[in-house]
Amino acid sequence: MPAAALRHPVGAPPVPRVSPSQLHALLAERFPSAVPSTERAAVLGTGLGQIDSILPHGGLPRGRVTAWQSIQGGATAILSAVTARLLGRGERVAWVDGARQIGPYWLVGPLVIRPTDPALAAKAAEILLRCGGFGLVVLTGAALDSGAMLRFSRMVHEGGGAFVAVTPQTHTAILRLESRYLADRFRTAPSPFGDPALIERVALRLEARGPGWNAHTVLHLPARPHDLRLSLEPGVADRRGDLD
Amino acid sequence: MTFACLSSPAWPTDAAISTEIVARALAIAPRVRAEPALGVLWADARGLDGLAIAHALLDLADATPLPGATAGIAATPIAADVAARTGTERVTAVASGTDRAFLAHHDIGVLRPLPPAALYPLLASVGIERCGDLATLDREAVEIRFGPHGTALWRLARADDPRILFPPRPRELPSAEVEWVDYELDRQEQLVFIVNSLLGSVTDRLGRQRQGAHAMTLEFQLANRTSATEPIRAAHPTADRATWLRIVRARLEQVTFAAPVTRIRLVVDRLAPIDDRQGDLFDKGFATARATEAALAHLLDLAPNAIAVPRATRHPLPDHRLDWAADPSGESLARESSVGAIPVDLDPVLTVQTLPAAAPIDVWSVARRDAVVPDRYFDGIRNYHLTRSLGPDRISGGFGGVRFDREYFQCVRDDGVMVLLYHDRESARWWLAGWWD
Repeated sequence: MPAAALRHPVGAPPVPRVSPSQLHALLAERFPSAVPSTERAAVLGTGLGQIDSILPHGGLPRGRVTAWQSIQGGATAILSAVTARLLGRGERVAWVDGARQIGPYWLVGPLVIRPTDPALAAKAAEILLRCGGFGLVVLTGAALDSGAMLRFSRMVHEGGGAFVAVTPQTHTAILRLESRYLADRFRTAPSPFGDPALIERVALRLEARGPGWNAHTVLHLPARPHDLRLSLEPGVADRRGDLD
Repeated sequence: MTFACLSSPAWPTDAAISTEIVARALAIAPRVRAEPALGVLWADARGLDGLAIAHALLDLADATPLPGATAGIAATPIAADVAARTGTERVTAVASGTDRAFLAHHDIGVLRPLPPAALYPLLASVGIERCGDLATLDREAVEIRFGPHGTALWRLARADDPRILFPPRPRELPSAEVEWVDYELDRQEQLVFIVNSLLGSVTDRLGRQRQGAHAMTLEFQLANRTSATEPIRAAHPTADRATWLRIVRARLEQVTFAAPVTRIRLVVDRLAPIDDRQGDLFDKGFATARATEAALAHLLDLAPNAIAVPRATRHPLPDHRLDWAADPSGESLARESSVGAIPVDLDPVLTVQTLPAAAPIDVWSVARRDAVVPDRYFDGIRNYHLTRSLGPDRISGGFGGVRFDREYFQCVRDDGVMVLLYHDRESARWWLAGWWD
């Protein structure tokens, strides 16, 4: 661009010089609900109020490792919901399925990595974490050791996104989550004979621990039945409509 | 003045001489065009000193020799042509903006291309002899009385020449090729190796021009004298060699050639500048788009089938209800998933997660009403007592294909895990299908 084009036109009112901080303040005033992408909060809000309430600073930490110890279950349900909400907010989300165990009711949207070699799952997560393009990376079904967790710490710090590793073991992390069903809080739907026919709802205790932080909540999660169709032939539409 | 015209009434009929004239004229002007049938040579003088070019062309004509050569310079081809042929000086220059006035006093017979001869008596019958007489008429009157040929002549008389003597130069698109005669290649790895080297030269050139390719074509010459073309395209214009190599590799995996390859040509089809565009403060993915693309390319280099896209199959069995297709190009990040049939639950819902392959288990069952339900099972490592066993849900089908007849049970283990077991009635075996998570 020629220098003359950058000059202020003759006769036009003078444009006040503003600093970047003044510009940010102006944007915050004009668009109070918008968060410029250049400003990254220290945490990534999950969008689920009950979850955020037990997390330090109200969200998953960015640039840090979160280890989710899921012995009984519940992690996929919650992280799927978090993923859907993040996608709705314009974040990129990657889900690394190391054990290739994603079930039939998978949600639309996140980038799914399913390496044929389970050993590549951790490597894939490292690559995605380091690029910084993903707001959240979820890793499930990978065998992790302390060395892998250390590498994750470095990569996620470099990329600046949030990272959740779902493992059955306990690992050192800045935030540790643990989910567990409450054994006496399974609610069942009865059959016509009055017997319990299927589990409708489960109470799940979710505990968050970190340095100087210990909080928990109890979530009541509906359980989706595995069979919904009446028509048993794959190519035939269900008589009740498009149920699955 | 944009056109210089060299005219000679005795243009040589020998094509070799015309070629030599053109070759030497190219040293005078960057673009020239010869019309030996009309006895003229055009030179593109846009942005150049037209008078100097005209004199240089006359010097060339004297050296050739071209007897009786004269030159004209004007802003329109028709004015330059008429100036060259009718000018009294060796060089006749028509001042800019006066082309129509220059033509006005000339006889309409000087205008070229010539209209049908029958048109001249018609024009003469209404007293039109000079270009100025014709130019003063309005278009409708000329069109009604003299038809389309009269209209074309009317436009020329107004110095409105529709000819495009020097069309815009087609942009030269980067390409590279390699041909070999001593051997033939039919293995995909060898072809990818060669295409990689071609990509190197093409992307280097693109990078120097600050441009990215949006689409390329791979042309393969085969040993059986046939050829095959494979179009490839990237989601965004890019000059990144690794990205293109990934796309090429994914494409070639699907291709089988009828014969070994003897020549490969890589040509860019579409270009786009890759200069940094204005960013959007509220676009979360803008700043990291390139880094993400590079990361996916790296990931796909490690595991070409790692990125998977789900597709609902509507199969009644939970372990067959979702198909996963590999996405070797990594485009699934850019496009919306096609799994529209699967609802997106914004609130957490426990769903069944399936094992890659159902695991055989030993089950101890108890009788309940008219069925047996599992009470505990052994998975080869440890025993699990089941605190709840809900079912059976019988699913059978596959008529005409692979038959299945299963009884599913939703169970809760003593360690709290909700599992899905099934009893295969045909083989009388028990299997662990998955768990709720």
